[in-house]
Amino acid sequence: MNWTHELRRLLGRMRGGEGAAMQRSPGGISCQEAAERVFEWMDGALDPEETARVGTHLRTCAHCYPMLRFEEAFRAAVKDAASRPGAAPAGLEDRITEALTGSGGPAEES
Amino acid sequence: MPDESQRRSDFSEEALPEMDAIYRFALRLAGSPDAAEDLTQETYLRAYRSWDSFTRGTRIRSWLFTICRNVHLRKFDRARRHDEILVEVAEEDPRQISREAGVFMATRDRDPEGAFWDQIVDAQILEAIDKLPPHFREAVVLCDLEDLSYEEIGQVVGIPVGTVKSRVFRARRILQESLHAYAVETGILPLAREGAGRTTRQAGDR
Repeated sequence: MNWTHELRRLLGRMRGGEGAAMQRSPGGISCQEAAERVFEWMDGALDPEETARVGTHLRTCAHCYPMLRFEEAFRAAVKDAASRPGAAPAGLEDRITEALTGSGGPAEES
Repeated sequence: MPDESQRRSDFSEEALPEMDAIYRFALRLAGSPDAAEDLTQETYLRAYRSWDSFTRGTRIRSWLFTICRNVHLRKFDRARRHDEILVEVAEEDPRQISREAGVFMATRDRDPEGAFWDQIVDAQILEAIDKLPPHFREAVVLCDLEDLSYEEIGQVVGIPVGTVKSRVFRARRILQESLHAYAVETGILPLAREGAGRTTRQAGDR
């Protein structure tokens, strides 16, 4: 490990110290932990126990609840934009079907 | 072996309904509608050739995403290697990133629940997605576009779940930074008041 890593780690600890003074209660986790896991929670990627703890924190902590709303609003905007265009261009399906008809069977290539 | 037309109609029946999703994914990978059409067609041709290796009962959409991605990467192999170098630099501990990430903290005094996100036009969001480094882009597109789980993304991309997690995290943070900058530039989000940042941060730390 080089010295920049070490420095970062120490800085992280110092900030973690501040964070600990912040608040510990809802769900038994800190606001820092909740902030780190908010995306995993939103994406349903945590195990049931963690989901419950992080969820409790995010929904009941006065500091973190707006953050949850903020991240959800962001994700909704991205989802909405990314789901456009709703459909492939007209004619692409025909083009593919035609290509499939002309195409060989299985394992034509190596 | 079933006759060819039966095989083709089986394949079409299962795979073609996914075409819109594959096209959208291809569009984000390839960048232009023409290139995306070609990529989608090539994906279907390859998939059809490998149809016998598809495990029935698994999600065909994930399988098609995998093929689409591979076809795309093979075409841009050189760019890919370059990209991998960038990713090594960019992939850091999410904990570290989350400490730095400040769009919520930076805007909470003006727009605590992020109402401004909804005011950014789709085209701008798509442009920001397209500017992401490819590995981050595909992670966020697969996650937010098609609701693939981290496990499924891991299978499509061929990386561990932990890496998916950090890529999705990082991708969203980069997107937020760039869209936040746009929102400030265009006046969707008013500028922070002079000295307001510090006061709010202290209030927030409690």
